Amino acid sequence: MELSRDPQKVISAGQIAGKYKISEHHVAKVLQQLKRIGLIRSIRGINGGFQIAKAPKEITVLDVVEMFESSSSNAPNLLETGENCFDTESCEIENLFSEINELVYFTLKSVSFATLVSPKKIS
Amino acid sequence: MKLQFTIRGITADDSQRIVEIDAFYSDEAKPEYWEERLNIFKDASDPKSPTRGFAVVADRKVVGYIIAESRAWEFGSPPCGWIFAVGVDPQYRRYGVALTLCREVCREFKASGIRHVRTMVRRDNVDILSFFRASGFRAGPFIELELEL
Repeated sequence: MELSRDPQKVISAGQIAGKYKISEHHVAKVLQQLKRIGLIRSIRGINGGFQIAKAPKEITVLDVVEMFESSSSNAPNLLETGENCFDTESCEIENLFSEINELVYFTLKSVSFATLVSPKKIS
Repeated sequence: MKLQFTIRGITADDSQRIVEIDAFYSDEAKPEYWEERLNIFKDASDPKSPTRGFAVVADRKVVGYIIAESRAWEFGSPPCGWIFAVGVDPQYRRYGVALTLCREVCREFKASGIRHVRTMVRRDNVDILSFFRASGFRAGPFIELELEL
């Protein structure tokens, strides 16, 4: 989100860590992961740091959530369903989790970082 | 590129274009439905009507529409506005047509004392969900349930 606010701005891990009072080491690890999947790029030099690599409206919250999930498929599976349905009752639970997964998946997919950092367009 | 367009109240005569735009997204032309639905706008001057409708005109044709209604105490909800149809000609997307329509209908609702506007969207329709979320809509206090018969 910090990088989305100003796509031109180069921000270091230390600046983000300082602003949110979190471990710089942890921030640096997350930034490296984001870089690996192409959402941000690193800029070398004395004023170096990280910069967003795509337009914030083209990055969804799902893109980032999926980076931390083991599953990289398109199927919504945030509650790890799909393996235990063997009778009517277990299938009912399976269906319930699938319903929740679908809702979570499409909600995360419909929210871009531009939406997160922009003011409401209608008020 | 900027599009020159105007917004005006919807009329019953707009039904043909609305049928065309709606058919693009729903894969089904529904002329009887829209003619009946737009009948209420034959008497467009009725200020007491709970229904609001606007059309965006560009290049001398309707390129977008919105129809909304204020409803009170349905499902126990205090009076609120409902957007039940919004559509933009696919060739005129990305010009802010839908946002203009939503702003206008929300402005009217707000002027009449309404503080919440709702709509219902297919949960897998990411494009339209993204549009409403970017406009400021969030999940409301209700959840829609259905039973297969």
